[in-house]
Amino acid sequence: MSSVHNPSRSLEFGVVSVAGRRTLQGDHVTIDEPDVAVVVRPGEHACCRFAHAQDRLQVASAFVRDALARGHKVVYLCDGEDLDASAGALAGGHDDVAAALASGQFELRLARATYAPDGRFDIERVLVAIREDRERALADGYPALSITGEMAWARPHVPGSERLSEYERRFAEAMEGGEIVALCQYAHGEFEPATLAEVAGSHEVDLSPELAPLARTQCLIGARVDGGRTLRLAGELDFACADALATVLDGHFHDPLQLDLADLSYVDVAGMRAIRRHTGRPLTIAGASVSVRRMLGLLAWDTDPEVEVLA
Amino acid sequence: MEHALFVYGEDQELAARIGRFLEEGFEEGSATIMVVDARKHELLRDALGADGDRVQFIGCEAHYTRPEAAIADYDTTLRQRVRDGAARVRLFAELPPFEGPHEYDRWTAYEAIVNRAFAHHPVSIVCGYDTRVVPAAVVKDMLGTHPRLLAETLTDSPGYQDPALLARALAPAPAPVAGLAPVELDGEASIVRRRLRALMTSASVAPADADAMLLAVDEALANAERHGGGVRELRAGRVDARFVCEVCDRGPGFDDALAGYLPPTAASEDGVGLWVARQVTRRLELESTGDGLTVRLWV
Repeated sequence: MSSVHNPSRSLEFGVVSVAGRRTLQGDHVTIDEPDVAVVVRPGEHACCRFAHAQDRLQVASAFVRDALARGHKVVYLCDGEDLDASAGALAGGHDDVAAALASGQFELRLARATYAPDGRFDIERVLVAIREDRERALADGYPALSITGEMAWARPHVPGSERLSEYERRFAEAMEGGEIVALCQYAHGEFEPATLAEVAGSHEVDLSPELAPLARTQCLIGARVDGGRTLRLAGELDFACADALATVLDGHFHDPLQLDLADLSYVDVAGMRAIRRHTGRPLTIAGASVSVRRMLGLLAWDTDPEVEVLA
Repeated sequence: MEHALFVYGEDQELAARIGRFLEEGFEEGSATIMVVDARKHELLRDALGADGDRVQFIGCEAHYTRPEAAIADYDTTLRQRVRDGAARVRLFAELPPFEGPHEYDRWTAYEAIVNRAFAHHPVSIVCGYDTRVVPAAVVKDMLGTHPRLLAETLTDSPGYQDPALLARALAPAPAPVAGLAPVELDGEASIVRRRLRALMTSASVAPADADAMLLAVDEALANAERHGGGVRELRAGRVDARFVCEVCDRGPGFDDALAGYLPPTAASEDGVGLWVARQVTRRLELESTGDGLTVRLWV
C-alpha cells in the first residue's frame, strides 16, 4: 500500500485539489493547464449524459484523477477493446495516472466483461461483483472505491438491458453506506430519451447534456442534484467563464433558482453576477464555500431578502 | 443620510449634546450606535441613565483600522439594522487619535467619502471632534467634509466641499514600484491565477494574503478586459515585507478618487470589482499613464 500517494489537500476549501500540468524548466515553473474540477462528492452515485465523447472524456478523466488524489482505488470500465488507448486518453499526459496504473491503484477493465460477461446483463451478479470490488479495495487499505463505467454496452439487443434503470436504482440502494463513488457514463443520443430520463432519476447527481458547455470552459463544472431542481457548481467561476454559465441558466433554469455552491472553490464579481442576472427574483444558495461566503458579504447579498443562504 | 460635525472641548458638552441626540433617537424609534473609546462610552452611558445600554457600542480603536474597512463595516452594520427592522439609525462616532498629518489626510478623505458611501442608508451620523485631542488644522479640514454642523441645533456647513474633489486632493500620488517581473498571460484566467499563486508561494506570501491578491488581480484583469481595451501587462513581485501586483491595460484610464470606495447596492453596475479589490488588499492605487491605466495592488 506504499503506492497510495498523499493527495495535496487544500484545507481552506475542504476539497482536494488536483494540479494541472506544471513543467519545471530550470527554476522556472510553467503552468499551462487548469486544475481539475469535480462535481461528484465521496459517497455519491452520479451519471454523465453529455452528448460528445470529448466532453465525457474530460469529466471521466477529472473523476479518475480526483479519486486518485484522494487515495481511492479507481476502477474504470471501458467500452472500447483497446484498454491502453483508453488509459492514455484518460491520463492526458499526466504522470499521476500512469503511476497509479503501475501500482495497481488504478485499473481499467472491459465494461462488457463486468456488466454482461456471458452476453447477458444480470443485475444481481453485477451488484455482487461491484460490492466485492469495494470490499477488496477496503481490505487493501484504500479509503474507498471510485468506479466509473462507459454504459454503451447496454444496447437494446443485450438481454437484460431493459432493466437498466432498475439496476441504477438498486445500485444506489445496494451501495448505501459510503466508501464508494460511482460515475455512470451514458452517451446522450445512444439511448432512448425516456430510458435516459429514467436512468438520470436514479442518480443523486446528474451531469445532464445542457450542462456540457460549463465543463468546456475548463474551469467550471455543473450537475443537477436534488431531483434536478438544484444546480451544483464546482471549480472556479470567474469572468472568463461567467458568460457560459449565464447562457446555461437563461436557457435551462427557471426561477426561483436554487444553487449548491459548496464545491465552488473560487468566484469573482462577474461570476456572482452570472448566478444572479436579475435582481427582483429569489435565489437560494444551499451550501456556500468560503469563497462564496466572502463574496456574499462584499456584495451586500448577505442582507438581501431576495438571497436565501441555507446553512 | 445626514452627516454632521460636532466640535467640543469638554466632557460635559459631549454628554449633554450627544446624550440628547441619542435620546431623540429613542423617541423616534431609531436604532442607536456609538463608536467611541471606552472612557467616552462610559461617559455617554452614564449620561443616558437607564437607556444607556440601548445604544450599540463599537470600540473606535478596533473599528477605524483602515478607511476601506471602516466603510465596509459601517455598511454591513447599517444594512443589518435596516434588515432587522430599524426605520432609521442614529450614529455617533469619533476617530481615535492618529499619528501625523498623513494619517489624518487619509481619514479626512474618508470623512469626505462617507457622504457618498452611505448616501442610500437611512442614517444620521454625528462625528465628534474633541479639540483637546485633535489638532486644530484637522478640525478645520473637517468643516469641508461634513455638510451639516451640530451645535445647539443642526445647521448647514458653509465650508462643505465636493467629496470627490476633496478626496482627490488628499490622495497621495502613487509612486512607481521597482523590481516587479512580468507574469505570463497566456491561457485562461484560471491558469494565470495558478501561475500567480505559484509565484506567491515561492515568495512565502501567507495563504490568506495570496487568496486576497488572486481575487484582486482577477477583478483588475476583468476590468481591463471590460473597460480598458484588454490587459497589456501583469507584473508581480515582493517589495520589502509586501507582495505587489500591477495590472496594466490599454485604455484611457479614468479619474475618480472615489472609485472602489463606495459599497455596492443591488443597483450597482460598475465599480464593484474595484470595491472588492480595495476591500481584500492592503492598498490599491490607480495610475493613469499615457499607455493606459495601472492598478497597483498590495498585500
